Amino acid sequence: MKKYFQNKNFVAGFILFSLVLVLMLVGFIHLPYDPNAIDITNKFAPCSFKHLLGTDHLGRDLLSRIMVGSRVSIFIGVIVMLFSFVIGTVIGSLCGYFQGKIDSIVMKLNDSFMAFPGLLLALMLIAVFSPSLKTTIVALTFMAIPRFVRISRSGFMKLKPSLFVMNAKSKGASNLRIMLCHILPNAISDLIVTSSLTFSLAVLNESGLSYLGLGVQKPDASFGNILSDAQRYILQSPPGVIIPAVILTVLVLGVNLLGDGYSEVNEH
Amino acid sequence: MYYLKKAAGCLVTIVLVSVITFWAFQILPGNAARTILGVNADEVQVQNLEIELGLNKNPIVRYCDWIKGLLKGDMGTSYKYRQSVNSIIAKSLNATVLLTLYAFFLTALIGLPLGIFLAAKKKNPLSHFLSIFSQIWISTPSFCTALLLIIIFTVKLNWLPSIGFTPFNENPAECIRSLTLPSLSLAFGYSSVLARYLRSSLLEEEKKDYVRTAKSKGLSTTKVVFRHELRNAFIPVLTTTGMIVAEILGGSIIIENVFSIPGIGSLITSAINARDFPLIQSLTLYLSLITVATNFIVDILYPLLDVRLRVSHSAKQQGKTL
Amino acid sequence: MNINENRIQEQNIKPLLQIQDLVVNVKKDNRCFNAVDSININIFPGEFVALAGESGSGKTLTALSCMNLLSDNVSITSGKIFLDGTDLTSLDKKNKIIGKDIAMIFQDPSSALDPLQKIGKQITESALIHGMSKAEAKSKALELLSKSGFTNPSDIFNYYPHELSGGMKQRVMIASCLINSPKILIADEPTTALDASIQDDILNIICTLNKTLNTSMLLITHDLNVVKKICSRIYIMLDGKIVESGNVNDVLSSPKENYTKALIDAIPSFSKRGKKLETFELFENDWRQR
Repeated sequence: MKKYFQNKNFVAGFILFSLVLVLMLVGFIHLPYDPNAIDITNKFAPCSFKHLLGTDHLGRDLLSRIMVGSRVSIFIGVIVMLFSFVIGTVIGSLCGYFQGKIDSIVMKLNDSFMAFPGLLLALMLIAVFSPSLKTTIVALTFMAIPRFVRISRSGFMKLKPSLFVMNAKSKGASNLRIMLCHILPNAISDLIVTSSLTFSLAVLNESGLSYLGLGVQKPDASFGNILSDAQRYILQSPPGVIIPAVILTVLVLGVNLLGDGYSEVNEH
Repeated sequence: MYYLKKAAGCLVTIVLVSVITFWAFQILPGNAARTILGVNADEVQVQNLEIELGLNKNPIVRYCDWIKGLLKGDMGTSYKYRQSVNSIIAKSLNATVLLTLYAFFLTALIGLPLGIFLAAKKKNPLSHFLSIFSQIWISTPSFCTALLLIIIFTVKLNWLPSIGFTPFNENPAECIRSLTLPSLSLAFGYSSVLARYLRSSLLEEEKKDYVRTAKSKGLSTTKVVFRHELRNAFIPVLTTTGMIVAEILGGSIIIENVFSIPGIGSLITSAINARDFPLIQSLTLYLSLITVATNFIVDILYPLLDVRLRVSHSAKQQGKTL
Repeated sequence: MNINENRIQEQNIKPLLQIQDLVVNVKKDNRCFNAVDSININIFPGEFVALAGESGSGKTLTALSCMNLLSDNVSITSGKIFLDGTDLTSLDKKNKIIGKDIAMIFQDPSSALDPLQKIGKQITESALIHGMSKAEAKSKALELLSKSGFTNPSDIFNYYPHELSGGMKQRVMIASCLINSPKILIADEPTTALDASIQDDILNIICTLNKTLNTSMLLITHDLNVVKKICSRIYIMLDGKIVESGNVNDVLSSPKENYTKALIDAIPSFSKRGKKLETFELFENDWRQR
């Protein structure tokens, strides 16, 4: 663990991510205001002790909205990452280990899922099932699974002919045991890097969807929502755009740096 | 053989993409006729509309009909606009294609020199700064970059427009102006990705033996990089380039909404809000096909760059072909 | 001092390559040490000199120092290297010496060539950057390729590296090094990575061509059989220092140092089958006392 904290990227990422995490946690304990409380008389209030980050066009406290928004982003990021990790790794490891015809079919299917550019796959599902938080999570998970399938498949394919696997087989270990206890621990570092990438992409994609009005629905706060509202009043209140944009970037940057730092440490 | 294999794979992917798209929009939603007419619709009306839209047939038959129609160039009729999908798409394609090309051009323009610089001048402080700078842009969502650029260039400086699009044949200069901020929003992030890939590829090449050989001949470091390393380093980056074009295409969906550009992206979002399935279905297929085509082009370009994939002289003498 | 060097001194011939008190320092993981510790080597025009020793003795670093090819964590901390009067340790970046007057051929030819360029282009490259015309460079390249044992030089000229075998690639490297008729060629174990069946061939080609062009050679090797066949003088290197030097025949028949004796004894031969390497114990004692 110590060697991770000696890596500059890891430490920087840890600090940045913690900043946003703390913001979210403070929000759990004490939200300064109801994030949906409208107070037109107080719209576009500048930063003050009363409203640390000011208010938006409806007089809603920006800090509270951002705290809730960070909750959504981190929550969605973690859920999407976990689900796609498990599902994708199971599929990919089975393909990579057993290979054969099913492997070819699954990989072709995987490739075709990856042929839908950008948010298209998510948009398809949202089009069919109406926008909501649940739909967003399912859609983003679908988008993330192919990546895990690819990485875990290539990892398992590479490690299957290794000597330590043959050793385990010769001692009578079952396939499941070999995959879980022998190959997986060796393939895990690539998967962890992919996880950090998946988390940051999920956060980015969710904010994009919410921005389009197709993710978290208004009036619930999400970074995308906050920004699409703020855009309409960009002339009156540029900080209303800059502040959430910066915090969102800090979250994603933090996770990216954590991933970079982790892969740098494990390269050696 | 190489080209045949790639073409066959491409075809399979296209078929699968069409199946997925069809399944998503024709099977999943359930009864489209009911959706169009609303919850309180009359049973008879629903059945009539079903017959009119051909929804009462077997799914596989419907799929084949759809494919037959596609091959003839008929992509169906939009629920919302009551026009053929073709005519709607044609108008929007212009803007999206221009945006994608312009954004990719900027991405390469910024990304390639940046990647070379970061690899060559590792210890330079400017290099460290640029490295951090590019890491920030990768982490910023493209629409955030867009909003920040709007604040600087439209609100404060008033140099570039933030809304709308002028078609190329009307006014080329104005067209480029209107597409500059949108393209930059995409290019900032993706050029950083390109630069990082190129940098790491160049650093890998630097360790190889042929670089030492070139230096032992007396070549200066610059010449070694440009004459030898760059071409070799670019091979793995070529795949990334194809991926970046696809991502730019996908990213244009959001960016068109930010800047109110009447392209395919805007069309998709309004179609989703209107639940206009034929339109969404066709647009989805369109965009995916462009992505598959881009990757296929990258695959074709590979042997041009990597001579090891070409037919060797001895094989040519035996009459073998690629 | 051996007999050859005495005679040369009398005739006042200056050495072509003069390595004087060279110290090369290597930094690794916060430690640094002298991989080459104050060595002196002289090579005279037309000579083939061997630099022998085990892996890790500093032979390759010595060669790389002459060619300005040291990596970032390796540096020459003191000493000089003179090639015909020019100091190789303080060369300008834009010098015209490396690749023209001094050339080096490396151990592993498999990845020594740019995989994306044709053979001909790579051979003529060093000629072109040192001022030869395209036509002259091409004809010289073809001539060298044919002298290196290729029966179809003009075909090979247009091949790509992946179409050649290891031995063929090394012959291409020989042509590439000698196209500028350098004054001295440093050969760093040029046959170690090749099949035993072609090692002799490659060595013969190197020697014949060098003799034709009057190119001196510093042959780095750990194979004393090869040294016996083609070199006139030998330097034995151990742990960064020269422990013994002189005429090949003198040194190999009556070695003074225990390490040299151990090296010579280690040369495999049929008569030594099943016998213990006694000289190794003598050397081991020496080594422990350092």
